[in-house]
Amino acid sequence: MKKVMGLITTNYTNESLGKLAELRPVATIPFGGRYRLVDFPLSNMVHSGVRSVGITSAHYYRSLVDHLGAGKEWSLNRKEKGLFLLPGSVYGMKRFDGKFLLRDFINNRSYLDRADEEQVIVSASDKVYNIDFELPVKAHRESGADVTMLYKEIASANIKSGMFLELDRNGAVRSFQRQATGIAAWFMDCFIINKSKLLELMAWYENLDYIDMMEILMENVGRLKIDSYAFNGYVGAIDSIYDYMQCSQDLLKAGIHDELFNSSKKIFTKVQDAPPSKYLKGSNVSNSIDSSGGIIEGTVENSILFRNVRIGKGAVVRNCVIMQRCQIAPGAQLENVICDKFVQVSENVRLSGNRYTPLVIEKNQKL
Amino acid sequence: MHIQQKECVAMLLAGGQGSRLGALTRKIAKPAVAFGGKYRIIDFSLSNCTHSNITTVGVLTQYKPLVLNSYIGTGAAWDLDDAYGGVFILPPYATESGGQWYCGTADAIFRNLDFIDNYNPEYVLIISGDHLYKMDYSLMLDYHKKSNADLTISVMEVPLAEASRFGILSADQTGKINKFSEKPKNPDSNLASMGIYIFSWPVLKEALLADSENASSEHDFGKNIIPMLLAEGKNLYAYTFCGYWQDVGTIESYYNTNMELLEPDSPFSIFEEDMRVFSNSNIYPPHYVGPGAVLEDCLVCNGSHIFGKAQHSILSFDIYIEEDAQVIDSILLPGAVVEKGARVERAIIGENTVVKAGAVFGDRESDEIAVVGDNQAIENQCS
Repeated sequence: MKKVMGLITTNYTNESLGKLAELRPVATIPFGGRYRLVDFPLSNMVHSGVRSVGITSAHYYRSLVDHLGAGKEWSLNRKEKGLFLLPGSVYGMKRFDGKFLLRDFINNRSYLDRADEEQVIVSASDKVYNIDFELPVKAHRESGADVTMLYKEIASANIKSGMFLELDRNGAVRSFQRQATGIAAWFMDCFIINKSKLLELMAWYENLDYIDMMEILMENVGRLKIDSYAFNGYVGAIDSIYDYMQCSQDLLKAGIHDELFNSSKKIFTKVQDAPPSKYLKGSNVSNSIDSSGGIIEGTVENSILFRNVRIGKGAVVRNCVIMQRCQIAPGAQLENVICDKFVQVSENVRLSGNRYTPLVIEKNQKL
Repeated sequence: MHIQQKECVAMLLAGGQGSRLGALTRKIAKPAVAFGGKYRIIDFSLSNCTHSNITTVGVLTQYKPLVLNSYIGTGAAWDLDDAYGGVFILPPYATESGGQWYCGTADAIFRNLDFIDNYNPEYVLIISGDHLYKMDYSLMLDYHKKSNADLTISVMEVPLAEASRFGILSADQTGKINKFSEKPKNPDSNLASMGIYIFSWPVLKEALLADSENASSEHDFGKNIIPMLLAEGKNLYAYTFCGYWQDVGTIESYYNTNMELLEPDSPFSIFEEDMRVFSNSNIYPPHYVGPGAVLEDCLVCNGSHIFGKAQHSILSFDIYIEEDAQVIDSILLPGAVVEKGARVERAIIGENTVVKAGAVFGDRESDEIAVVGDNQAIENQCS
């Protein structure tokens, strides 16, 4: 897909994610056994033929740089084009409202200026889905729109957070809503915009650079041609700890798992070359996914195990997400728990959250 | 072309067929055969090079090199895509006077003297692409320098009963080699050559030039070059290696070496963090273990789906075990599928091979290991 570049924003956070996003941007929250959330928009762009992707960084960007490196795993370590890590502005320590801070666009204007692409796919980094952007880009070009907003039609909008689009009969966006009920067009935090129009908007609002790109689009609904594109696949939104657990559990459903991971468009991620996982005698694992390097001796049900996890003899892990290098000692029992990286749970310790409020154990804790 | 001089260049012999591995090497060279679930045999020597700070590696290929060549790629998977070196695939080539296959290990190196000359190294490490071990060659190089050796041979002690399978040598207390015999009928020592050599480059070059003139030579390091240097009174030293080393020459040793990885304290420490073994694996999602699946005593890799039962087996990446299928004491190579109700016992299932629903392959009581090669289908004989 020629003439399209990507811009992924990570300079925002979300209080509802609590400790999961305390020392990392939402973009680098570990997800699905071996991924980080940013892998999804990034891989989607690469698979759709985008050759140049800029990523604005957040205040705590160590994990982002560690993960992305020079973009090798996404084939973005290029002579021409490739991966561009763009400094995000420091807006206090963290930014909670809006995912597309205008100032981050303006400060990195030269990345856009120098590019020869005509369209920009702008995406936040807290939704997981597998899309071929070629179709929405084609629709965008054919309709002659300035902006095309991607959405997913959902049945019970009241339980979702985010932004909703009010569309006219032809799919043009009439307004943006913070809340909706019943069937609604749920914005996927991703839009396609003509680069010239983006640069124009950036110039118009230069003196108001603390506002969000969404506010600009809202204010200009009448002046811009804003179209929409409906995506029919799975969209998982990581807007809270509850959502994180739900989306993780979604991966255990064959249809969703196959759509997200087993299509011909694999989600790329940083490769760690861990050895295979070892399942010892007495292990009892069902309806779970596990990445490599694990040593599993206990019982694991409906759970997501990341790399190099140890589940001791007689330990029981149920409806959990156990991140990289956690150690669950023999006899420990965990239910509805999210263990962040490097957590150690001692023998016979019992931990449990409930379905609606999973218990999050902070990174590096010893219990 | 400008090339930075290197202290040590590695030459990796990867052209052999490994004919005793039968169906496993029908389509691919032995170094490209899958091992331990997620690896290919060549991963071990390439990773060793990286961990030994040797970043210039010539890989000599000859037998069915397609999979091997594409697997090695730029060498990036082993961090060997180095600005001043890297991995070079060196196949046989034609010259003004015609072309010839590599005939013998020494001949393969001899035909690539230009490659080594380009780097003008002080030392040349010669290794094989089909051995399983973790070794820091830089320690061997230190020993080579300290001994002021012309050639250092890495050795290990083997049971005397097996010694006649190896190149056997005797050394004095300082490690200086005074006798070498290739696969002796009546071995008088249990110091076996591991096929890992460090030569001082001028000595190697001179020896290869002389050997190429010798019409009666088989152009083999063990049979010709080492005896020749020993006879010339050169300084040959033995470097004793104490770690794990295995040459999986036969189906049986391939099977046993894989199965050893399942032992609680497996002698081959691929699970240890030091000298991590790199591999050029595709990015697969984590494996999925379905409701009702049974996994006992197994290695499992990414991209796999397990719905049936697997015991004491190596399950490589991207494999599929359907419901009611059983896999016991077996090795499933990448992409293998065991369909509903099928049973696989004491068997090696080749890459992308499908064991059809209800089919039975192998027998756990049998002495023989059942083997099927890549891209085959095992049909249900009863239907």
